[in-house]
Amino acid sequence: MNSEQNTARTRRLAFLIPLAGFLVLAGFASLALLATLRGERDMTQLPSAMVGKPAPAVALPDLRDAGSTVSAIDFKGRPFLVNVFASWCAPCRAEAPALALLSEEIEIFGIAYKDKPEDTRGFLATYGDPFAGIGIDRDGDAGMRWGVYGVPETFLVDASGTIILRHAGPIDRRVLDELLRPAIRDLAAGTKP
Amino acid sequence: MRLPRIISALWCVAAFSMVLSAPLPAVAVTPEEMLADPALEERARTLSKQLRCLVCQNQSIDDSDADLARDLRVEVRRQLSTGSSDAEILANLRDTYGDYVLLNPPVSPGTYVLWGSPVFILLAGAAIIMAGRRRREDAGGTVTEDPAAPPAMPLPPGTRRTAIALGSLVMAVSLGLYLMLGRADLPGQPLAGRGAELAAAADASNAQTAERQADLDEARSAAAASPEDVGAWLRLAMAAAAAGETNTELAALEQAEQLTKGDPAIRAMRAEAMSRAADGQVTIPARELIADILTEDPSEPRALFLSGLAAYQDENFGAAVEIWLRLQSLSAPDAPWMALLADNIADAAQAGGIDLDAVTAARGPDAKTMAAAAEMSDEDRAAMIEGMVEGLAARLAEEPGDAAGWQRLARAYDVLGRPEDATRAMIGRADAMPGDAGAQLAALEGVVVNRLEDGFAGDAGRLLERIASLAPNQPETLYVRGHFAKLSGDVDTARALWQALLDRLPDDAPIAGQLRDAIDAL
Repeated sequence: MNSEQNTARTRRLAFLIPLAGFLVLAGFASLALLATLRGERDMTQLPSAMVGKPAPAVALPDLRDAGSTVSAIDFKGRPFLVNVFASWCAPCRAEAPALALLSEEIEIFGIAYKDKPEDTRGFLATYGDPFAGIGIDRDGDAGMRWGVYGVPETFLVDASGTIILRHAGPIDRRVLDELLRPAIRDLAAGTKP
Repeated sequence: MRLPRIISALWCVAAFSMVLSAPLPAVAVTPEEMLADPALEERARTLSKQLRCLVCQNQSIDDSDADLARDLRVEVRRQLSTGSSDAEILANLRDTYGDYVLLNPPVSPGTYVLWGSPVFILLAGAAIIMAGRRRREDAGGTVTEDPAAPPAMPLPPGTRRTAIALGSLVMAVSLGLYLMLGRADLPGQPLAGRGAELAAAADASNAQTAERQADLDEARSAAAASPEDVGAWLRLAMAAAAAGETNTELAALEQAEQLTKGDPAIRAMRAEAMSRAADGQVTIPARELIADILTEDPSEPRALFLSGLAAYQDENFGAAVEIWLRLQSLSAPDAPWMALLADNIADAAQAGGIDLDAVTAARGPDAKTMAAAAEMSDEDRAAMIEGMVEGLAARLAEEPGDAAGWQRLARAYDVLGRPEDATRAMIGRADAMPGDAGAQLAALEGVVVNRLEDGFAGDAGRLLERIASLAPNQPETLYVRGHFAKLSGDVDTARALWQALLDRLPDDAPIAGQLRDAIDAL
């Protein structure tokens, strides 16, 4: 009688195993969802393999000086930002004010990604020009060396030329105040002594 | 045991529908990308199927039409033609784009669970089945022998069949619906039946466009006929704005601006047009223009509005509310922008989580209160101002850190002719910003000018200590410290401080003589 009850109970419990498995999975999923809703996890940010690696030294035609070339390593020696942008990219317009603010704190090297030089010039005339130097990446070759997925993307590079941080997507207030500015400040504090 | 069997039947149907819904293999590679060597091209295709299109995320670059996928396909083929091995190419791309670029994630501590879980689930399932079989063998005869044991699932006859039928029906209906309406490869639904409606809307908008274009042409010739007439250029700018031709609008405004030698209102209109040309964003060039206008005319309404908008677009909602409230207080109550402005202020306050009532209270009297004050008798007005001042003083007693509030209070007491209270407010301000030498000096100056040294001796001592360390060599510091030293009878210190001050002053400075007399009087 007792063993009968036990068997019946075990049978019922065994039937619950898949349910328990499902609940565990659902638990993980809801944790991830909660973190996303709270803003602790950003689903749009993919991991970058370039952080910690040296900035690619691709020489690009200089937008401002036809005939000469410009490259990210020209900026080596002090921390700098690299911003990959294009005149055809709407979020690039949105981040123009943020870049203008940043240009007061740090030099910005612009990579005009898959853009016609005359379009790039028109874009800069309309939305302002925060760049200390601009390279023309007509076919997206440099973008690929930087591991760019799409425009805009922004990289922070330290004085030794190592990529410290990557942000994909436009720089909004939050990215500016909570990500880029603290990182730039840390870098400045670290390199001074 | 029956219910699990129904469930497994449902699973089969579900799995079948999932197989059907899997996208048909699509190939995105275009002929001009292909390599001439079929063997290399074959390797390129195999590699492409293992690489993730990073912007579409769940397609391989072989399947995706995305720009980046095309670039990667070309890159793979470029590396193949230079003789790189498959493994080298994958390693190169992995270096740049990370593990994420590989559709098959590599086995690493981070992916143990991912790779291990199918094996685990398989083993667990096998264990459960084995356990169930052993149990059934053990239970063999005993269950039927025991009359007290109920059947495992006491279902009424026919229930099982009904459940299967119902489940299959649900599955079949959803599968049918999916195949008819939901398949990913279905063509877009044509706007059949809406043709007449759309045509009418298009006609109306065409007529409007034609009308605007006619207005614009007329304004253009009018401006060309009288190029010295500012009004003609402004009318052209308005017509161009209505027709959506921002370049013409900007050019017309520039003409009007030159004719008026840079009238701030017209420059502000140009800043607005620049922002409109940038889809409403207050761009950096527009911001520079606005800043210029506001230095020249700090109350130019359009420039103020745009400056608030710029702050709003930077998500600097506090500044946006502040600027727009200022514009509101400067504007006539029936100004055409008031409704929009009020909406914007409410928007910004909500977006920034700002308590509007608190902000308006801290800002002091607004335009409405001031207008009411203008209509009152002198006594009533004085009473109203005193009421407001007391409110401010009470608030500052609770929040003594608000330096700007103290300054406002001091100014209000000055106006009311209460110098002692004004000085006390200035001391409050100095305490609110103890690191600011200017604030300390301003408060001390209030004490000296109003001859309140006796009443405020303790406060003065505190402020003096602060400036002595903040700005020890500033002339004002030397003078004030000397003054208080003299009052406390410390003649030597006073003389030393004033002498130091005198050494710093040019000989012909007007106060040098007075100071020399004062030193002699010591």
